[in-house]
Amino acid sequence: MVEEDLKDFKLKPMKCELNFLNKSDGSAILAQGETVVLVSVNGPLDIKSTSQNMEKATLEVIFSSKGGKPTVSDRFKENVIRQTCETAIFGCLYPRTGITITIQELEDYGGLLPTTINCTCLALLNSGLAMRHVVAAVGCALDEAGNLIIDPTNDQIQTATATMYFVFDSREKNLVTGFSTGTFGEGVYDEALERCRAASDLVFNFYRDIVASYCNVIG
Amino acid sequence: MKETIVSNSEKAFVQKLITSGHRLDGRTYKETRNHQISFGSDYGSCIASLGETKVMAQVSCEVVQPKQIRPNEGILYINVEVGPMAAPQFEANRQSDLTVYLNRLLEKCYKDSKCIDLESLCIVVEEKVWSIRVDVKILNHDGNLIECASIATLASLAHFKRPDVTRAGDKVIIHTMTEKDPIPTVLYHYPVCLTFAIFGSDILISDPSYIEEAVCMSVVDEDNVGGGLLVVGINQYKEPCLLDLTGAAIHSVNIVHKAILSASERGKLIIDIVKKSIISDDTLRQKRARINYKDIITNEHRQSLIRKELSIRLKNFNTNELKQESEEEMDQDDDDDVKIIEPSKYDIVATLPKTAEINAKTGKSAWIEISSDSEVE
Amino acid sequence: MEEYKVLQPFKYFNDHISVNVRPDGRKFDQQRSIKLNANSVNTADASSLIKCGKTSVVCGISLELATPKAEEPDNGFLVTNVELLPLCSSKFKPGPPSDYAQVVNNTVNDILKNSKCIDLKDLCIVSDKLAWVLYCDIACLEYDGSIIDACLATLMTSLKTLSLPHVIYDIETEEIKVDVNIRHPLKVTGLPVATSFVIYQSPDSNVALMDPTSFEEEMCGGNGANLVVCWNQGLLCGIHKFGGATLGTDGHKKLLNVAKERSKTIEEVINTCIANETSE
Repeated sequence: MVEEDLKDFKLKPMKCELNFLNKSDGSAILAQGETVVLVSVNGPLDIKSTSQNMEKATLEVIFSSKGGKPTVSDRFKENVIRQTCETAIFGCLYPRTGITITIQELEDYGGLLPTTINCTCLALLNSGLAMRHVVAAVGCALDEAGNLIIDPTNDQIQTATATMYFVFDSREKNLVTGFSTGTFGEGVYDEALERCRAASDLVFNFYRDIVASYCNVIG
Repeated sequence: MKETIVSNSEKAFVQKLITSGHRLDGRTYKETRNHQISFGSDYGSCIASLGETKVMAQVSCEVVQPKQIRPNEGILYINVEVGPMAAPQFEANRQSDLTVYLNRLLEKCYKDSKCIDLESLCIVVEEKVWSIRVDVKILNHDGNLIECASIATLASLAHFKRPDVTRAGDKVIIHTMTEKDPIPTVLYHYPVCLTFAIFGSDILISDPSYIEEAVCMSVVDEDNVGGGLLVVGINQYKEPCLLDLTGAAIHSVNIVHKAILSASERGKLIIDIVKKSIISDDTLRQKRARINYKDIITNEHRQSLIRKELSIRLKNFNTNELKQESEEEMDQDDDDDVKIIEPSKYDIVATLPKTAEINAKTGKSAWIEISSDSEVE
Repeated sequence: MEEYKVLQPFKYFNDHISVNVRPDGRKFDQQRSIKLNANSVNTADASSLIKCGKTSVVCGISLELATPKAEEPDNGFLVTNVELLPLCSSKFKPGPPSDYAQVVNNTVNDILKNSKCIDLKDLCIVSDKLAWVLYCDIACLEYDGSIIDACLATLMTSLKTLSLPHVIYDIETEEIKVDVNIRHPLKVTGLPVATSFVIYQSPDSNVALMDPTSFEEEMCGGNGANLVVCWNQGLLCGIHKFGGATLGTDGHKKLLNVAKERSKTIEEVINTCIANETSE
């Protein structure tokens, strides 16, 4: 258990556990603030020949909300995560196989999608699949006064005029995925991008701490 | 992905072990794995675990029009989902035999046993009733899904509170949780499903694990034809409300009787655990403690590669050498400021091929000795 | 040449990019020609048809009356539905909407919501009793990339030409009278314009291609555009990047400006088209 509360950027405290599920090849449960997500990764698996790809592994992402019927926005989340993981996973090492990522939402108190992406990345690290780079998602909100808030809480998201979420890779800190709500100016966008890029270091450090302590345990 | 088949040698080993009076994880025939129930921040949201089997249940409600034949009753709907998260062989978004089976058993246990007061869910006769939906999601499948799912369903139903409603003329006002205290669901009785695996003709095993379930459902040789899973639903008054047998026919009635007797004892214990955990959760909430699923994140599982996965242990087996080694390892853990699990009274020994490497480090080919040991018995 | 394209698609594409030209002869930041026509479908209350290169999309809006939701008694409804029919490309199969169609629909809907160009309160006639429902059906006739750009442009043109009939509601008798002869145009503030890019990972540097064709999308990951930038009158109202190759800071800034320039052009196209339509 590693809890972090960093001073410069103040991300919400993160808490993570690897290998939460023993039947999956890799799994992780991550809490960022009050938002909690559980992710399981299975792969490479034997799949139907119709969905096999000669060049790389076929990625399947299933997002399951807490209760109720599946919605269109679940499909959108699946799509964002699949495309992000497609760049992160070294898929060409596993041709004609499938990789299944299953996500279960446990608590949603704002910033569900970034938490999901971070948790997915930890589960992928846990599963031992080859990856090009790891990814870190950071969100920020623009409040009515025009201030940028990194890693906003649920109340701050509700009152914000715009929210922006960015996913960076660990090697060049380039933008892999991004999405936004609300309207904002170009200058605000640039500033948000740079500040989130800097804050992503905290997430990468958190990954390192988790993996280091995990390696010590199994060492 | 296709399901991994249990090999013949595994089958024979498990079968032999059980007939000689032992179980793979060192439990007695009647012993169950650890129960744990944790609640989420919403009412009616809980994760139940039985050993490594984990099931999440979430209750939600909405106002709908009642069915025409029952105009003054609310609706209870149970939906079970088994995705690839439970185990890699399951496919997503598809009804499999297992989901239909689980769904039907839970419906029998909670809907058909009339444990919920459906009439209290009525708001306006023939117009508006509450529809209660239970979403049961299997997170990890390590045997005895039905028992774990039923604990999760029961706990979430008992934990759930629906918003209060007032009628003003034609209008129905649904109050938010802050306006008026929500109302708990009325449960007449608390039924729970318990699983028994039948080995041979007269061995009854409580709370079978994944491999025990797989072995008892497959026939090893001609001598051992009997074998199956018996599910007993029972409430806190020791009244059976569900019986279900899968697998081969059983030879004597006695075994069912034995199972019901054993279930009534065990069921009482489980229902007490459920009730206790709901009461303790309630007092915490009254103290305005923030309950959240993040509390279930601990460091325990990070060690699963060395301990949790090795839930295989044998009784009456001791070597001092092995103990020393594991103590050394724990010292290492201490340095890393990680909480240590208490050393169990049994020695932990690996038999799975994956874990052999780790074992090789802790002891010198220890498990060959064990297998010979158990063979002698 | 055709055979080469079929046999060695990646090499074919790379050969073009390495000499700074796209397979169809365009420059990297050049868009395809656009044809926009308003009120092309007479059975719909408002409609428009757009052709961006080979991609053609038609949008029809039909009006209906309904009771508002109890939670939001002052709001009307705006329902978008994007359909990628099997007729537009061999990629799409008949049956329920594919995941991709749902994603496109969600993106278009998000942009519309974020830009706040339609106030749902304008669609309400009598609070808690009667409101308009705008069913915006967007169907793709031919799919050749940059579907989100086309969908949004045709949707905005249709909304801008839409006018609502006058409705008289009698509270006592709950009688509804619709007078089709008196029409009020719908208030639309702002004009969001989306621009799609794909980012191609070439050996030396990553290049961004504006307004990609279906072939170009396939060469750069295969799931539609990598980056969609949406400008609404000098403000950003949605930047969606979906995985794919990454982009540095400088490249990113350049793309935002390219998209800004294009949004002005598209805005002019839409305005000219509407002016033309009403003058006739």
